[in-house]
Amino acid sequence: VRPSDEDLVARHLRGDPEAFAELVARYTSRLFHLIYRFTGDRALAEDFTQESFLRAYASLPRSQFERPFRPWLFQIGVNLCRDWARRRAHQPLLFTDMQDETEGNVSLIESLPGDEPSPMDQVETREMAEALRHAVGTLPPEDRLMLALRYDEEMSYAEIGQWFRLAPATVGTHIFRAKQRLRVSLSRFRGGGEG
Amino acid sequence: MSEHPDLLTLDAFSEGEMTPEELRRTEAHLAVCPTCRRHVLHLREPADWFRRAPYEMARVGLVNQIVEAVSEQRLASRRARRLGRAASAAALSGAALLAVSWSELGAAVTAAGVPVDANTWNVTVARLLEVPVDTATGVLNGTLAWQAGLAESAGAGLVLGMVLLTAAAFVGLTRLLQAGASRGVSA
Repeated sequence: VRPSDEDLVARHLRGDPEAFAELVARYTSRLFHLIYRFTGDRALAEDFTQESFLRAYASLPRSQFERPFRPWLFQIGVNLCRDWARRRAHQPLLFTDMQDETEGNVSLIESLPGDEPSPMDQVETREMAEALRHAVGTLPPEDRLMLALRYDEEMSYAEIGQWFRLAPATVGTHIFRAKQRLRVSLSRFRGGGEG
Repeated sequence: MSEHPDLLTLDAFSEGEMTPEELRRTEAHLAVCPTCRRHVLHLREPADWFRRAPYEMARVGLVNQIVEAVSEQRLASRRARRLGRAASAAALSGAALLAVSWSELGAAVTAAGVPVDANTWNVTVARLLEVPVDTATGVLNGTLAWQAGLAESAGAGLVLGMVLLTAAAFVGLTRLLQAGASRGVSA
């Protein structure tokens, strides 16, 4: 029987050295993937993945551990990403409340195509992977992170909102915009055939 | 037909992120509106694209690398805990030695009949070393300044070392004074 995360955490706190190693084996791939979605840099993603586990390891004995392990671990990784992005940009960024900003993006929100074919309808299967890779790669990092949390990690708007201190509706607006940008990016990669 | 929902509402529908009331209203509209149904299909596409987008897999050795790093951290924290315990024990021992030797030194100074004034230490050291008082004062001041400088720039470990060294020096000094006092008494 596969032990739950909570069982492994409890065993780790009782001094079982194998328990934390099992948590590492369980979540390294997913955490790396999430961080890579944001940074787009393999070496950095490896560093942040390792650092996330080290921080979790150091914090576990001090934590009143009532939260599920996976979201807690992933939030450590996401926080590392956000700190990194903040250092790069030398300014606060990411996921501010969008209530006002939404007003200025009406054109994007209204950019849904009517009867035009989907961008992917015109992409050959063999080109599909490259088109998608490029389209996702050109999205802003915060868009990639939002989409990864939603579609890779299958988190609800409310769960994502808890991480970023945003209302669920605001998270929905972020994700909507990110998807629209993905559509635009894919269309541009194809040569702007959509619009 | 009811008024068309806006795209954010249709997107929330496509994502399954609606209250029961919103869901009921939107479903009722979609049932009679092919345009909005088409919008919903379009809105679902990017999520599917994103899921299908190829991505980098974690390197095979990454798990082992992290497990090893965690093990090293575990060993390092154990070493740090051991060192902390040893440092605490040494500090306590040093403090005890200092207290004992301080009282022994006072007794020895009294027994030696050294007058207690501002220059007591300098005079005592000068007598013991058989050097002029000015020389002893210079040596003592220099030593104290050196210790203070080290304590400012160094960590707790070095300060601890200085405490132990000072305690040992006091013990040695006490022995010398006691020997001097014995010579004075016998003389």
